[in-house]
Amino acid sequence: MQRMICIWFPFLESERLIRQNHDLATRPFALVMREANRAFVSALSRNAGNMGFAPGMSLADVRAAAPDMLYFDADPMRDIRCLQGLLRWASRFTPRVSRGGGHNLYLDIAGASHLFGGEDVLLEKIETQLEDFGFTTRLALADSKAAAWGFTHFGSTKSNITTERLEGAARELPVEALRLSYASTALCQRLGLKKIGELTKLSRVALTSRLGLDGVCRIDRFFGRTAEVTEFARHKKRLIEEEQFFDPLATNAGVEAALERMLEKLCQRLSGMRQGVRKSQLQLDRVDHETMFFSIQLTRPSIDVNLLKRLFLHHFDQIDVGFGIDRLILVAEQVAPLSCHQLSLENSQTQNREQDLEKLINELSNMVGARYVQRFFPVDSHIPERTFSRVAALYASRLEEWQSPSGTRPLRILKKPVSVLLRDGIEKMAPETVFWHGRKCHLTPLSGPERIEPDWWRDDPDWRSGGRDYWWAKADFGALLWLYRVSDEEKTQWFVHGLGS
Amino acid sequence: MRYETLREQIIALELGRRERQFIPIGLSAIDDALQGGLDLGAMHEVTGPAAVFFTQMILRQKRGGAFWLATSSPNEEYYPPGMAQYGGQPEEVISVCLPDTKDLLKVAYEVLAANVVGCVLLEVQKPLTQTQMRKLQIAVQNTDSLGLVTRGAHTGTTSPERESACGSAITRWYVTVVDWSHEKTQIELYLVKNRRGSPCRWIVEIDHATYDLHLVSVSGE
Repeated sequence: MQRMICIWFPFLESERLIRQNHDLATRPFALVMREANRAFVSALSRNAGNMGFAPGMSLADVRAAAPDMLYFDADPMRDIRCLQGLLRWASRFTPRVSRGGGHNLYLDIAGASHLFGGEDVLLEKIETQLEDFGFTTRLALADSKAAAWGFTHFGSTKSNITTERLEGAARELPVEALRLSYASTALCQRLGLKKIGELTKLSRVALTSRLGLDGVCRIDRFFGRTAEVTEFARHKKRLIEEEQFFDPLATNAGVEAALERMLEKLCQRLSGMRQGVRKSQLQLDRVDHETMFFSIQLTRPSIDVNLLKRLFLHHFDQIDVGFGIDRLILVAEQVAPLSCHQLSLENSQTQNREQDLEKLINELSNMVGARYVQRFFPVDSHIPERTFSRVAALYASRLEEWQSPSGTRPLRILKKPVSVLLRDGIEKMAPETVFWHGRKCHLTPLSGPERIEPDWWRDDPDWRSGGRDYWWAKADFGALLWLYRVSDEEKTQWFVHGLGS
Repeated sequence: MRYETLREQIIALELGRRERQFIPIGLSAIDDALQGGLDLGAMHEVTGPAAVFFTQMILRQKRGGAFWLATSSPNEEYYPPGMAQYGGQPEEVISVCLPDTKDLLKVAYEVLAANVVGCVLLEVQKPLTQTQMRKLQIAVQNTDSLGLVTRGAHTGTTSPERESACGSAITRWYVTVVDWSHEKTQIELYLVKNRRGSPCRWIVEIDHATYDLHLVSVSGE
């Protein structure tokens, strides 16, 4: 026997957006979809719905009626992804979860509800937790999927329909709750059959001749007389190792030993699958319900226990054992197929060096954070500060050769050009005396000007002043400066942009 | 003769290694003063307004990749296109920019001891303490990479006279620009500290097309 919960999210589209941006909670807004030259409202926020608008209205109509309404593009794919996330969340209550058409989730809780304190408590729990996430829901529990759907959409909220009560409760539901075909529903309306109770009073022969076999079949599904096929979500096999300790671990050494055991087990499992760890997380649960997380990442998938352990050890000085750790969970968050190494005889030394370098990058990235360890990549641009990009070395390998730039470029560039004051008149073409770091310094212009124009298609605040004339000059204390001049009608300004030749 | 051997032994003790490895700079006058070239597995210091020129020269000589370690706070940033122009290989450079000098030094110890790159460049704002330098020296001593500590002095408030000759670096250089054109650069190299000989001063010309070095003059002569 099934005990099916149907969870319906009537405002999923708008509440998904509100979750991302809480400022939207108080403002009415609409989601717009475009279809063959027609823009129409596909979903509305709750308060916009209260203003009398309904999905399906054309955008122009809504705009005319409510000029200050906000509009966003509808994104059905993201709605589905959001629903899939919720499905994964729901699998904590039962392994048999499935996503239906519309924004519905189905949970078969037969044999699982007692774990959560009974069916009513479970319904309450699901509703309040989803409310905490910011989702309005309607849910119902019944013996069949069709009945659960019917009570969710047309019954009173949070109804728990037991097997005995099904017949009675269904009597008052409108015919639409049966999900008959459009023609059949219209026929029922025409015949004056408004409620399910009126329909079930008729004989099956009469029903079959009027609603067809499909209609009768739907009524049978509703009352659980025929089975309805449900495709439950398949759960991905997660690579998790867990150890619980009756005696809480009180030292880092103990955690280290346990970690090594878990890593060995995990790597054993992965090696059977020819997969390696790319990203992994260690969760430490303390006796006092504090939880700590440590993550590692690798340049290439690995099942080397020692390597993984060493990467985790970098974080070990942050472990606060407190009163003891009673549970460790090791998750392989991202795995990838192990790549094969081509062993060559001639240049095994360079290969070793490459591997050692990779190891070092791994280690540094996990020590200080992957975003701080970078490689440089050339970017095709004539704007000096845009000719290169930085990419985390953990994810990038050495790829390109660099081309020499067109003009002479400095060895160091200033992230923010420093303004220098010219002493001798502003009308001078070449720089002569500047104030640099608070002291006067004489410049000998060496070469210039080199004109660099901004990208006209891009509005860069640094380049709003227009083209720059770049000069090379030697300062009297022995440095080379790369300066540029920008001028408008009122004044001319000099900036130092680079150092060294 | 005896004195020479004795000094060799002392340096070997200090550097913690027996066999001496070095790379020539490519100019006999300087290489003679250094008894062959810059020691590998040792720390060198470069300062002065044009320190980048000298580090660039060394990076070109000592191939095999480089780490560029710097604090991320200053306005100044490593500029790969400029380096490519002078024969460096920016694709071989891995940069680590951290806000804190202490973390940066930790990274430096790791990188130096790992011995996987030819050159490790550490850019600092304030001079390192004796302990920090010594730790770097211990990390690098059994490797064949070259450690360079540079301290930019673009503000023009430093001078070679103020650079002390103590500390545990094996050489210390002070570099300024004398003349520059699109074809060549003249820089003045002041070897403030030299464990293998006496301090010297040269003016050197770098050819931008061939990267050859030419001696212009030996200062003080």
